Amino acid sequence: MSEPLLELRNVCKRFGRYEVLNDLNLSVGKGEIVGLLGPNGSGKTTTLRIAAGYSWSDKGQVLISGEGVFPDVPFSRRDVGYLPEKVPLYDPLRVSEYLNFLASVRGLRGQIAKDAVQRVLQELDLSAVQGRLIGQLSKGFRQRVGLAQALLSQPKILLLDEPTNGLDPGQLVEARDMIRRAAEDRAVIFSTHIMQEVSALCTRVVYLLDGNLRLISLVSDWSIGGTIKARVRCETIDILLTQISQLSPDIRSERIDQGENIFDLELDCSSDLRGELSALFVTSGELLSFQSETLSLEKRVLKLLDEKGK
Amino acid sequence: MGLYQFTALMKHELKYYFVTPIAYVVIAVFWSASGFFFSFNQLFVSAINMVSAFHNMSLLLMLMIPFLSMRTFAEERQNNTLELLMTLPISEAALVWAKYLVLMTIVLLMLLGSAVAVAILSYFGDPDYGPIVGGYIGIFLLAASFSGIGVLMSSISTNQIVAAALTWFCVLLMWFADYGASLFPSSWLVYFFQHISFSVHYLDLIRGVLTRGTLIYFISVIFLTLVVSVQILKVKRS
Repeated sequence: MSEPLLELRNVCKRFGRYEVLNDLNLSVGKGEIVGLLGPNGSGKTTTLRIAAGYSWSDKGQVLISGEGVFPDVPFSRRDVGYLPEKVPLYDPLRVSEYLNFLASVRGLRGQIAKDAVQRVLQELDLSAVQGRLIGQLSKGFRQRVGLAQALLSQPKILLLDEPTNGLDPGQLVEARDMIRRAAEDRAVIFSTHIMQEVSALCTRVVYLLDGNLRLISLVSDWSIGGTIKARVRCETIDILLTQISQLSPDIRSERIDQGENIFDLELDCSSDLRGELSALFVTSGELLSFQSETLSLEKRVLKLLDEKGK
Repeated sequence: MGLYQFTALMKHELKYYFVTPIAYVVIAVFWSASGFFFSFNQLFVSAINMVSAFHNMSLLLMLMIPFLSMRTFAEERQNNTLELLMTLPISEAALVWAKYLVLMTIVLLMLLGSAVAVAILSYFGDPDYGPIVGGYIGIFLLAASFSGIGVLMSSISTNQIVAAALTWFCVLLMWFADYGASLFPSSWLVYFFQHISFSVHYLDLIRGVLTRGTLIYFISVIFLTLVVSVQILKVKRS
């Protein structure tokens, strides 16, 4: 990972007796898109709020490029672009009025402010609706306007809380493209419940459960292709099992016919091993059936969490 | 945070009042009602002063200001824009003061419109300007205090109607606070209740009596409500 732009160090947060975050450590570098996963109430929004300088943490600190972010130091939030779960918009204002206002409050002046507004309008394909009232926009456009305000001051960090919630498939693809483009020169963290979102966008996944960070995984490492079920007739099953276990140690075998030496084999393996395994079955005996099941993304996460637990 | 950002916040706040009907309605109702009461008083009592007009204005402001102040923070919270504003590089104090000053700008506009009555009095008679100036200072300070309470109530509410209702309740409580003195006739509380009452200080002002104590009282109410509003926003961050 490149030099971290955003660091959360030993962040703890309690609401009364309920512990929301427990000693959370996370670093995000430039160009990274980190997906924040977890069930409802696991601390995703709280993590983003603390990182954005909106909420206080009880312990620990948030650093952007090595400098602390604090809710009582407004200037420390200058490098953060934040899009909350419910898009914060002023319905009676026009898109350009809204963006001009936020550019001014972020300290952009004159031509710089105008250029910033024009840039986000173009980047997010909002030029055609810049004169329209926000209250009259579709959900997809509202989401874009929300993202536009977060990108106005070209922040180093972009924090997005469930940015694709409620979008239709077309809008979903557009939103993904926008986030991907936005992440080119900054660090992005976004929370979601949608696994497909994670595999389509993220370079890394963080799983929060009951305030604890349970898993940090690179999406590219998710090579558990699925489960293979094979029925083979084999005289030298022990040799075959030894050979397979070198490729995938998690193998289960069951002899189903004593006289015929027919065995049912079941194992979990990555997708790139499927060809090698089927070749092994064929050369070691007679392959009677071969079935490959791909694990859903949800099952992959559960499996990874299970392995982590062990 | 610089003056530029503060001005931007104020411009936005002022614009927001006028892109929605609320400011137009409140100003129109205030001008119409205060004009009606003034005309009624002149036609039937023929007094060349504005004492009763100020009385009526104070009641109207008591009714109308909660409609203006209720949106300051409660609406921002409802729309989730408060979360956005509080992650921008601006302080809570700037946010509270910007909203308050805009509220006072609208109040000033309302009072300026009512000054047509002074022009009419001057045209048809020779009024004593001392009590009129005192009355306007008094009504402005009273409105400024009502607005401070309104901002405070909006900062603790998530619902605009609740914010308005709480403002009415607090304003009425402080208006009639001197009635509490009769409950404790021979105690230091008599002084306390009389001193915290809006009506006691306000009646002095519209009679043309501007004392240092009255001025300190109104300024204290304004600062106290705004400082507490800032603290509430800070506490609600967590």
